Amino acid sequence: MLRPGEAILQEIFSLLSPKDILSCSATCKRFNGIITSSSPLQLILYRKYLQVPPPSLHAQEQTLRSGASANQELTRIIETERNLQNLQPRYDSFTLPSKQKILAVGEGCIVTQHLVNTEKVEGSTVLPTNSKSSPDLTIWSRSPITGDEQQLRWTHKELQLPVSFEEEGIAVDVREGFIAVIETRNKRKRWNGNEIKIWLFLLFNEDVLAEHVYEKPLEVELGSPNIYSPAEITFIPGGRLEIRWDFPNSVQILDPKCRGDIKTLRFPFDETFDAPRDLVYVGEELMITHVTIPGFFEPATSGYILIYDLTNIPSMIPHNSVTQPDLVLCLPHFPTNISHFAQLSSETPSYGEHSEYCIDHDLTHISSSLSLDGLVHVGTPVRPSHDSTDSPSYTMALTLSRCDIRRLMNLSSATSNDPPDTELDRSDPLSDMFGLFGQFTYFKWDEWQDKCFIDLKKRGNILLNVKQSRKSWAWGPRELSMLIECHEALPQDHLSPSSDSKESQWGLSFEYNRIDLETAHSNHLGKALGGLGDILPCTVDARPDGQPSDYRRETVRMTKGDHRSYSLGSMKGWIPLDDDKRDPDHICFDGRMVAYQNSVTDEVNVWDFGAGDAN
Amino acid sequence: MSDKKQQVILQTSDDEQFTVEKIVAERSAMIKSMMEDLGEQEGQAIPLPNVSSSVLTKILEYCDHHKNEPLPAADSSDADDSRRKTSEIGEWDARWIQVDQEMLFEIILAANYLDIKPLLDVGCKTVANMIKGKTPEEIRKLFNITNDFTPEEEEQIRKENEWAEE
Repeated sequence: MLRPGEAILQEIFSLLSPKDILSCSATCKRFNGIITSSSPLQLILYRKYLQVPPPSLHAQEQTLRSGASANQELTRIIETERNLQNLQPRYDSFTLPSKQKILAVGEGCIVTQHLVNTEKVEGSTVLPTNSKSSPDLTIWSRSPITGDEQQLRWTHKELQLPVSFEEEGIAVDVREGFIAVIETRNKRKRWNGNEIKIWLFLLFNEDVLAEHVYEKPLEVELGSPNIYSPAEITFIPGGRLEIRWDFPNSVQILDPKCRGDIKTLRFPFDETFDAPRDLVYVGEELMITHVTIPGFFEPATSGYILIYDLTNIPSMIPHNSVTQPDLVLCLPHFPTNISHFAQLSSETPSYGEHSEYCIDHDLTHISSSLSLDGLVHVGTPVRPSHDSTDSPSYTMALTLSRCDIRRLMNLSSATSNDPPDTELDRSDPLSDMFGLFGQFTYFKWDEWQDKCFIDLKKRGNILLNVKQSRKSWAWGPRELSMLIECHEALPQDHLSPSSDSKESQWGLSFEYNRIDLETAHSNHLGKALGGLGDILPCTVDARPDGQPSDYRRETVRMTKGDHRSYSLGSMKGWIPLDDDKRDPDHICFDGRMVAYQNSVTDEVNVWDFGAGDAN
Repeated sequence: MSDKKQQVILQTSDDEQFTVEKIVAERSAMIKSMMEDLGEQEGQAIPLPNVSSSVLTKILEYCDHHKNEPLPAADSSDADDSRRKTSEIGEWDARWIQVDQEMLFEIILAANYLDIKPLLDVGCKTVANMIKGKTPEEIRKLFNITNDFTPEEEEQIRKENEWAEE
């Protein structure tokens, strides 16, 4: 039996060819575990993988999906990623019948909702229904006509919900070959009780819009009498559905594979404090989020990272009961880290006494990138505590791996058998992450903001030093070296908006391109090797056409990331708009396709990176 | 600098003492930093509780042969890169490391413990060479590994890895 430890075995495996690595992963569970949890090894495999036909999808996913074969599906995903890399969307437009609003895009389809229930759309097929004269939702997709491009048409199919509350609280997500619909009826209107219904329809078939719209839908009734806000519904890794409620601030996770299995998780602080909005899923088991608590004492603001083990979440919770996080982390206190930074980065200007700086524990960003290793990035600003305009501000970034989190969870449960108090414990030594695990890095504030990771060059410098000083933590350096590799593949120059005819043709130009492409690609691997995608938040900035390129009129934050495989974590696109009273909801983006509805003309502009025949 | 070569005493796990030239012992970054920490205390043995005398004998052979080469820069990225890029094992090293498997792993573990990067590298490359081109079954046989997968799991892995077959 091989005696060497995990780190040495990984070192050995990293010297092997992709094929040999896979052979090793097939010998025993120990090797398999080491290989599947190592970012650098997965990166080696992924690089190899991109050049060969895709493997079969994970068995579970195959059961979820019908129609297109796994290979077709993956080929399309890779194609999309390449188009994103080269900024080659296919531009298209069509006009919606009036009184329709885009609800969601996904799978190359656009789902619209009828705002008024009395309109009848010409030429449509209304599904059999008992009582209603018009459909609730319309699914638009490019008709599968091959050959002459002039004949490409956006066709639609209509979807009648079995029972409809009309335009009240409806949310839709399209993913994994399904369309999920959640409808809520507000307690304060008409009815004396809340009604929440979820339907899951089969969307994706080879002949999607031809004749097969839905099979018998999965229908779930949620008995949550306290809930009276409209919900959001989102597909999350594992083919599950996340139902997000604002009040009480909670999340329900529904697994369509296990009929009726719903887990309910309620966050703390829903009345007084900011609700956690960033939910990051690491695989199927972990959910990570953060809360910010304005304090009365120093530090002025405290940020906590809450980690939940979803396998422990009960299906029903008593009213007003907050779900205990399995792990609570708070960011480390100040001077240690900034001095650490000062020593390590030669490019950093010296800024005298460390105490002049404070970490504002207002976590600005949390995102997960590598699905297999569950790399989670957390960002928080570090700024001068006095108003000194000369002093640079920094963003502190923390990178965690799934293993880091697991290890800390084990540590935490080993040291304390008592359930933690509802009040987050600041004195808990485990909550001081620094020195325990994770990797800290610092960026100049204005360079980072809400982006995932940008200046990798500078970071590489820091990280290698961190590697040296943290030799004993085997997980850190491996991930870091992977990220440095990422850097080499990143485009060095920003892409500026230009008058290039090709760009203006499709009307989408890019201020800069800071997609962490390798990271995004690695998500492919997660999918390809049976892992699960993950979520990166997307932001789309819009500006009126003809304005200076640096003029941002409005930011639309997309709350639905794309967990499937392609992620546009930090890409920003400019979309020319000619409508002053634009409803932000009318821009939808799912990681593959941007759809913008002009609310005056009802024209829908589509930029599709996933179209096979991108020009 | 005196003419007399500086000596260091190393004490192994089985309590054997080795007197070696400082320049030889310094191939080990771990011993080097220990010597720096301890200062110039004549006659004091440096304990190596994780290394046996037979392994240390072997490793000192290596260190002696390479004693005049420049030490790798302390953990810099460049060192890491060049280390990785040279996939070949030197001729002398290749002959030197022709040992049985148990000794090979002892050497790797000791190189890791003593922090002798080039040696760890030679060891890892040697093991990697042994694995190269082998099937999972052959690898199990090579390292005496028990197959702890169920047939279903094995089939699943085989399917997932199919894409690498060419």
